[in-house]
Amino acid sequence: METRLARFKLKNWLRFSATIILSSMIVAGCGHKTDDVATKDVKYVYTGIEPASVPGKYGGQFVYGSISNPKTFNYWIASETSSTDVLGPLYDALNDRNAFTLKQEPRLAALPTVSKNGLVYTYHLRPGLKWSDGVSLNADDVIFTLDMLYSPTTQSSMTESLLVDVDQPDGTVKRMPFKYRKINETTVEFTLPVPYAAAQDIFSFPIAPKHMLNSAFIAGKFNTAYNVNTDPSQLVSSGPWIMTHYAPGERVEYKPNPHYWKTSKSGQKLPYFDTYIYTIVPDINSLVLKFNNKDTDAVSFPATYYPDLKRGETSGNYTIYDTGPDWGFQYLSFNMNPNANIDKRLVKLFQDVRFRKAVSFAINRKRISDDVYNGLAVPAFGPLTSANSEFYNPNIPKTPYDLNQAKLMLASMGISQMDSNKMLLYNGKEIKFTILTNVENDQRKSICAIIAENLREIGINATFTPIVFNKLVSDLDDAPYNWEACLLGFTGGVDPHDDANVWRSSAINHQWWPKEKQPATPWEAEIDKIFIDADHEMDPIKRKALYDRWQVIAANELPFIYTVTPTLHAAVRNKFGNLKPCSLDRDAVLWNLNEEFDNAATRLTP
Amino acid sequence: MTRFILRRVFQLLPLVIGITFLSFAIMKLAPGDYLSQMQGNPSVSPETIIRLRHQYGLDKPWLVQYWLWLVNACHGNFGYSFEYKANVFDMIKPFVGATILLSVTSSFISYGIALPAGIYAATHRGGVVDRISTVVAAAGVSIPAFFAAILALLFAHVTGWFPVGGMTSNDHDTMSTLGKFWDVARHLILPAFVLGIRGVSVVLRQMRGNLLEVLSENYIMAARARGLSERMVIWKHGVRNAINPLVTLFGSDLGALLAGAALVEKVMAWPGLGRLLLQAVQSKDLYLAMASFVMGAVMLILGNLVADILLAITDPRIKYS
Repeated sequence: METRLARFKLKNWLRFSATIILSSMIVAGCGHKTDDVATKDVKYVYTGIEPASVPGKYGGQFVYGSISNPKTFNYWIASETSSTDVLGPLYDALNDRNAFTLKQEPRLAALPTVSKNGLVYTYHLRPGLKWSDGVSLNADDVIFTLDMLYSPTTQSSMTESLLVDVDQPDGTVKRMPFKYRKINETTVEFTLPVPYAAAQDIFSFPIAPKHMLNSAFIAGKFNTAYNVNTDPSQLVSSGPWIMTHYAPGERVEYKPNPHYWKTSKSGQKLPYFDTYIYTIVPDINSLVLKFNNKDTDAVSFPATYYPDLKRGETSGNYTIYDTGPDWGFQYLSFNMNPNANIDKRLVKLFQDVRFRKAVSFAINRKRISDDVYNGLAVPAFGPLTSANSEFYNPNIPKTPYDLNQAKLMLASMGISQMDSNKMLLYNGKEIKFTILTNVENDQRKSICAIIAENLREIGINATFTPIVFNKLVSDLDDAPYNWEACLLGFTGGVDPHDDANVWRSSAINHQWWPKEKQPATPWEAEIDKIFIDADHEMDPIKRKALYDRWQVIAANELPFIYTVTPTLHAAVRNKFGNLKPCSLDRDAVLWNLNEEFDNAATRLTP
Repeated sequence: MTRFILRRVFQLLPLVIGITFLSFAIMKLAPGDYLSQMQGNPSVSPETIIRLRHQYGLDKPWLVQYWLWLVNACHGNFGYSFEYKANVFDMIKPFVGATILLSVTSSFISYGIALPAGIYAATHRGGVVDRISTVVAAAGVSIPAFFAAILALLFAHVTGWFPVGGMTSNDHDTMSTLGKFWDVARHLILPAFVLGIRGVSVVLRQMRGNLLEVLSENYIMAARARGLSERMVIWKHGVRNAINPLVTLFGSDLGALLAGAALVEKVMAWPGLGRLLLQAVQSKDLYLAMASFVMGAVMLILGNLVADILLAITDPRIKYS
């Protein structure tokens, strides 16, 4: 469920930044100087070409450290990564994306056969599949999972991802379920209401064990079934691991699932490790300290820790892996909604693309990268980052830091006169607005401070105010839309289809002007059309071309002004084989733990 | 005495209700609710938010929500956690034990060090121990707990004498009973000290001050004049009278037993209640937070009750009727 993981990254950012407060304190407290990491020598660079797996030996353990505590053991109810990270190793889907290549690959079932009209998908499960308790895993489990997820009583946010956008004649979009039925014990068939290009993402939901959960579902107790007080032996698994122990707030322990379907290329049973331990530490500082203390084998960490961890690479016998840019960015946006309860003069200004371009030219992205991310971030100019090798368009127009360009843009709008404070005049008054950001996120606050300073340099009087996230969300989403500018983060999934929730002009999350009755501008109309067309375009190349065009429009019109994308890093002890770190897995190395092994292991059999 | 206790317990009820009302109001009046985080996520549709909000009962006016909660609570049903989808008390249970273990140990440390040191400092006023303890006490009060916790972690990492955070080792389950005991003890020492040292500062200064005051009383002079040994004077007439305010202090410590360690728990990865509560408040997990508040309130009031009773035992002048 990588796409799901990606969706919740937004929330992760928030949580993550809360822990930064402490971390920055200790760094300052230790008299530590922030090194210039321009000279970083990273040995590993993610290329997108998956290295071949080698056969391993059995034995040893893998200890991972994380700052998230699972909230529930019910994967289908779980709504945040802290739970899904812990449950992911237990539940496979029919197909899912390979986190490294980003391509759909067979899991419990072979890749589907698709009917000519693109509506009917048929999945054949692998023969002889078993749950970890030995009970057969078959089509009934798949049907049960969908019955349960589509049930109105189930409090699942996974249901959302099982709905298909159906365009209505009036330009709105209705979200509809797909039909499903069992053909025989090992075959299921899904029928879409309309052809949908990203259907396979919808069908990659984790399968639930009917024989364990059906009685709770019938009794109406599904939402509380499999909570964290459940005996882990009840959590039968279809993935590489079974959970053997949970110490609340401390760690989760796993052993290999004896009935796991996957084998290595040479036919060895997987996984290789005897034990997998997922340690839970509430604070990023202690987490890094625990890694330094050799209590854990791997850690993914924010840029603040890069200099310290880099220094200990040899003595600590580990390697820092650079998995490339993240899947999201921090962006600045302006309120272009004429119904908003703010100065109408400002709305008019914000609606002018020349103004937005001037702002983008004025933002010093290098400085943001250096000051906020220790130099470990790349400038962002468009809605996708280069992490998305499937859909990223490198040929978008760019608006890099250039104060002269910024001034020229403003001058072309007739804004060049300054008052005695060296502030530009627009219709005889200073251009003055407030940038909001959420107070919980230190990085965003720093970025806001830099942007406000940059804008002053070209004569725009911008100040920034941090407010509570919940308040910010309601200010943005609800009338009277009382905000002028804001800085937030966004993290996308692999398929840009999900971005429609932001880009479609009628969408509630169409931030700069939510729920437009008609597309306000020609380019918004074109983007609306692109997202509709791309949903039904079955030719991957033509579909990519559509999304390429969207990225060009976004970079030209800049309703979001992109700032930077941080690069991701993970440190892993030098004793494991088959490591293939990549950025779609936030933990870099957990996605293929089922084939990783300890180099010192010796046993030839499990 | 029984009547007194009954009366106090009876008085407790409106107080607890008042506390719950206030906590509920604060939680509700702050912007947003448990689902606001989801609302900020573009891939969750507004319909889903509305559906979930209805399922959680968060779409009712907050006074109605509070009333429903109160009625259920009176029937012993404190609701279930939004985030954990489990009964709140089942949720809290495993964390309470860890917190009590930590708090009790740290109390032992603080009183165990502070009482003798305070008495010694008072009887040897102006001496080396007195001066040192004053400095240490001042430092103990002024260093924030979370910072002391970070220092302790660094100490553990640099020396390697103690584990870096947590309550048990990764191989805890394979250990013998004695090994498990030792394992937890090793993990316990640092957080208990970090918490305890703060207590030392408070108790030590209090003990020293009280004792100095008592020792200047006339009856002490009288006792000395009667020719009692200095030991008798200090322990029987001095300390016994000086300890009363500390009993009250102990009572409020008892109340803070469950909640007082949140920051240290967070930094040192101790799987305690404070961490759970902190998270519950942050994510607006309403009923989980409420249950923790109720427990905190009850503990505080019980602590004061115990202090009153202890006071009656230590001070014969106090009579409850």
